[in-house]
Amino acid sequence: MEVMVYSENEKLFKELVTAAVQLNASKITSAVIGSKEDAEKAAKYTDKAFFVDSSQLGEYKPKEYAEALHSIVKASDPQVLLIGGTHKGNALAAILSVKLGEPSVTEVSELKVTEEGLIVLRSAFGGVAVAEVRVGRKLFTKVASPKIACVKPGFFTPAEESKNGEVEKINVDVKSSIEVLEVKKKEAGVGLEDADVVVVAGRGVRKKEDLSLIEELAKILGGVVGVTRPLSADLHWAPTWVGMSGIPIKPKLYVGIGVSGQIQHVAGIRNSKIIMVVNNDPKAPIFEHADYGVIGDLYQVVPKLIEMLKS
Amino acid sequence: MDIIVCVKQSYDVQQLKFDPKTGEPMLAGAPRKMSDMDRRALEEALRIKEKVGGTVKTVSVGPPETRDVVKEIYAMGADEAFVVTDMKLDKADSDLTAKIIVEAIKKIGNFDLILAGAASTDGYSWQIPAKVAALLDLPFFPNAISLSVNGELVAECDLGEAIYKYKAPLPSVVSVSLEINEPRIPTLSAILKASRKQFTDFYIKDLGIDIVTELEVRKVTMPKVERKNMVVEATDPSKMEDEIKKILDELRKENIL
Ligand SMILES: Cc1cc2nc3c(=O)[nH]c(=O)nc-3n(C[C@H](O)[C@H](O)[C@H](O)COP(=O)(O)OP(=O)(O)OC[C@H]3O[C@@H](n4cnc5c(N)ncnc54)[C@H](O)[C@@H]3O)c2cc1C
Ligand SMILES: Nc1ncnc2c1ncn2[C@@H]1O[C@H](COP(=O)(O)O)[C@@H](O)[C@H]1O
Repeated sequence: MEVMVYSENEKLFKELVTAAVQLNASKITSAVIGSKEDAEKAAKYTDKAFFVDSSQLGEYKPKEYAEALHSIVKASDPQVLLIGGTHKGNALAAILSVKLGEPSVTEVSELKVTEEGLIVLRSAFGGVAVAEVRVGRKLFTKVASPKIACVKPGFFTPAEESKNGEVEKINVDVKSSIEVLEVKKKEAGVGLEDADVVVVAGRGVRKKEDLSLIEELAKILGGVVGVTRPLSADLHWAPTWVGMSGIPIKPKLYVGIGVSGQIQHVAGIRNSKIIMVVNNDPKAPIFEHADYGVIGDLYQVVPKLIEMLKS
Repeated sequence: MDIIVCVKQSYDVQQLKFDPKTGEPMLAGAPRKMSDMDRRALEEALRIKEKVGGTVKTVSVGPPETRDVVKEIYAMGADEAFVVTDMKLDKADSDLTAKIIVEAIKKIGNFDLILAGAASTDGYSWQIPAKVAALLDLPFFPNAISLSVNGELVAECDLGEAIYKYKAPLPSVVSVSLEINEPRIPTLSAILKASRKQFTDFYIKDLGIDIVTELEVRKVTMPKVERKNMVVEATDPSKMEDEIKKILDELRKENIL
């Protein structure tokens, strides 16, 4: 069984390689849309790297990149195509799925291949639950028609270099009517994924300046500050947020300050070892998900906490 | 400018209950609501219409409960709502749903723009708008945080590590992020008027589609993490320190501090 992997994100690419190894793939290939050097790098992890020169395509455009990926898939014969489950990857998977007439599944955290085909675990009901899903009724019979799975970041250990695969260039002729006017890179986050302690500020924090209070608490606890989605995506107080659609975290200690505990946030903190929260509304759903809860005004409780932790 | 918006009636996932014995979700009669990002897609369509004129039509696919979303669609100000319902559609996967949406759109008629949510609140697959675009061979732009149309389309899309600004011809398909706008709250009179408005119900067989799914959901379980749920009340300033101390003591016992 050939498994092909694709992700524009280097770390996620290596995670996909590990996922492919765990599927017992007899051959692991990689698809690269980039430079020859990018493909040579990918070939250190896979038996063969196919690449489309991205200078032919320009910056990422879903339709055009999907066409390039389609050409790569047709050049090889994978039964499973693993795509990094980013915004870019999810869009490519969908378009490719239509082009190939094969199903796609996203938000995948685990996968296996049995006689019945590809079986995955994915989040269900918007992160509340986990579903076991069989992908495709047709088993692996057709040629060059892989089942497509988009794997979420952070579920597989990144692979180490272990191969010396060959590199093959695929020529494409993609015409586009779309212009990329601008690509605004975001600033890097604070490394929420790997932090031992994460103190999360929610909308209970009224002003951006008040984040300094949360930062002080995080510093004493030896951790970093994260925020909920509205604080990042609406108010732009931070480049990223904690949660299902942001960064899922698994610290030893999560402290939520003025966080209500909507399911999409909770889905991303569920793997925290200890959850502690401060909220002035005793009915806030976050208390159900907490080990330790303090009912109170964060503007009184947090300074007190800091003072007590200092002494 | 004629816009078609894909609006799903999702399960209200925040309120979903699970059977304590089997761990399975109790879906019969579970509350539903308009998918969060779809509400923004509809709002964005209405704003474009208010600026440049045209029509806003919606298409909703799902089990019979889907019809309930129409009232709200009209209350917000859409011109015409189309639904495709069938009992079996609760189990539809993204391929089937996208095919149905596309067949319905072909019946609805001409359009310049298709808007959708980036991900539905319950399905959360991020697949359907892109599949609709691919089936219609149209350009697709995911997770837009701002949008303007003026003969052509300019969309700013949040693609994770960067914001991409695209310029494209119409028609195109755009999926929108939660933050693209703050959706209007319909007035009471709009809600009352909405309940009297007619909508079009397409039947699956009229669209010439067989209900087959490639994804088979075999089991759904709730990941249950046991939590200690120790809660103290620190509202009275005189007792605050004692109450907080109880929790810090626990954290010390657990070697967290
Ligand atoms: C598809 C989708 C994906 C999403 N993904 C994410 C995600 O990944 N991450 C995420 O965070 N959100 C996500 N959301 C948004 C989520 O639904 C909630 O809207 C969000 O998490 C709420 O943020 P909050 O808790 O900061 O704000 P609110 O819900 O407004 O809660 C604020 C809380 O602060 C408390 N409070 C107010 N004042 C004080 C005070 N003085 N002292 C103490 N407490 C106080 C209030 O009681 C309240 O409980 C997503 C939504 C959708 C639809
Ligand atoms: N059953 C449906 N009816 C109408 N639109 C839908 C349906 N399912 C998904 N969509 C649209 O596609 C978007 C993404 O959904 P999903 O691919 O399920 O995450 C939603 O936000 C809707 O705009």
